[in-house]
Amino acid sequence: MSDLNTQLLEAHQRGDGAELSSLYVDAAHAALEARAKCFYLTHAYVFALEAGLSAAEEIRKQLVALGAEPKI
Amino acid sequence: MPTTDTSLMNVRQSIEHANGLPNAHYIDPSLHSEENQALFMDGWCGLAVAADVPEPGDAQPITFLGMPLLLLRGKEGTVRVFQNTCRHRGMILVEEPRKIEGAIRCPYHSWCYSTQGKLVSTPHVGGPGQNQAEGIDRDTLGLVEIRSHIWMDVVWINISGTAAPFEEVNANLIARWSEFNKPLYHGGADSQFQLEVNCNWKLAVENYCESYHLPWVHPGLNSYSRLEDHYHIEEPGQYSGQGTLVYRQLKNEKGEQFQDFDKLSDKWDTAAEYIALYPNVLLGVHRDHAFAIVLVPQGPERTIENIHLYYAQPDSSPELRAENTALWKTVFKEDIFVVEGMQRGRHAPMFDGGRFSPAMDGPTHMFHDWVAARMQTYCGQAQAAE
Repeated sequence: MSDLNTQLLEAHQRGDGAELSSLYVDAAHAALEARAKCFYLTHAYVFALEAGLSAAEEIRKQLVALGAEPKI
Repeated sequence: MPTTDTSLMNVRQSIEHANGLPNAHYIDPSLHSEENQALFMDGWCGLAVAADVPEPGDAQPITFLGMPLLLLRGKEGTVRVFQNTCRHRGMILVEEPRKIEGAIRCPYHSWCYSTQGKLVSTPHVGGPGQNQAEGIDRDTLGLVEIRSHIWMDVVWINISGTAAPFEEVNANLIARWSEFNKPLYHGGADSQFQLEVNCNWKLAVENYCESYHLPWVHPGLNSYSRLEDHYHIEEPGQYSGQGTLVYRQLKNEKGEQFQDFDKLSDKWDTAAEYIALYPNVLLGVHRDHAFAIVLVPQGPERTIENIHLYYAQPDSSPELRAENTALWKTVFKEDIFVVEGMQRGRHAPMFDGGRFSPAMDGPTHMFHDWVAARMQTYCGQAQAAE
């Protein structure tokens, strides 16, 4: 996780939304608690939305399934 | 509380007896604020041009009358104007002109908006990892849209949202220039420029809509466009300006000319018209090009003029466009010493607004009359409210 933290900080520094989204998905997968998973997935979703990534829709569905995001 | 100025009644007399607007309308910050309310908020005014955001996702923040606005072309191509503030904590959303790739993310707590202004994400609004909360209805929390309309590529806004539809308010001018109701192609980077002038925005309008000054301030026009070749354009309460009967097309050394707009009547072979559509947009039409100048007040004594030139075809000659831009830039720069000189003149305490030439200043007086009428209405409303 510390490696992931470093990568996240670097991606934030660069403002690399696609990389941030991808790394936060990784963080979500590594999270043990549901709330932490939702937290990271939310970040992944936001950066995917901002960057206009097609992955955003899949992440949104995951958040909806977890009860973290409203159904459309 | 707005000032009630009896001298406004002087302004509204017939031109033979009228005085111009008093000095305070050009130099007093509080009156400037009142004018912003009275002249800009309730009606339609110019903000920008659609060509400022040519591609889907293009966003341009604009501070207009102190308000942070966002000009945005949605992914589907529609140009809209929003308040440039997040519905959460009022944070400014877009600081610099840029392309929105996906959504607008507020840099504070990352609430996200689509390019149509819809609120699409409210991260952690219900606590960590919970993106929904009671009372946070995304459908009612989109970006606040400012009513807008595009005509002659100008983005017109009605800030109060209470004006009659743009086409209704401006039916007369739209009909007058119906022959130009066809695609206008912005010339691109070589066909736009900005002038910053140290004057009240109204002086730019006043100078633009009269031809009286042309032989003195623009001697270069004199050789082919004499004073007697011009006529007044006057539509009380709406617009005023001037026309010429001897417009001559630009021709470069290679003999190239711009293509004409399609199907113009014979009148436009040699005619051109220059109209100030109140309050703040100066428009010009010719057989082969048009232009729009959007005046953006920067306080009582400073104005930004954003100038854009348009052509009948998308593939006009870049060299010819550059030459035409240079020509107009010369003309508009020649006016700067006049409007700045009049501005400095407004600090002379005994200046009484000045007198008008009954023969030559009709369009300018018409603008003053419009300002005075709007101010009287505004003062009356404010007094009634008290």
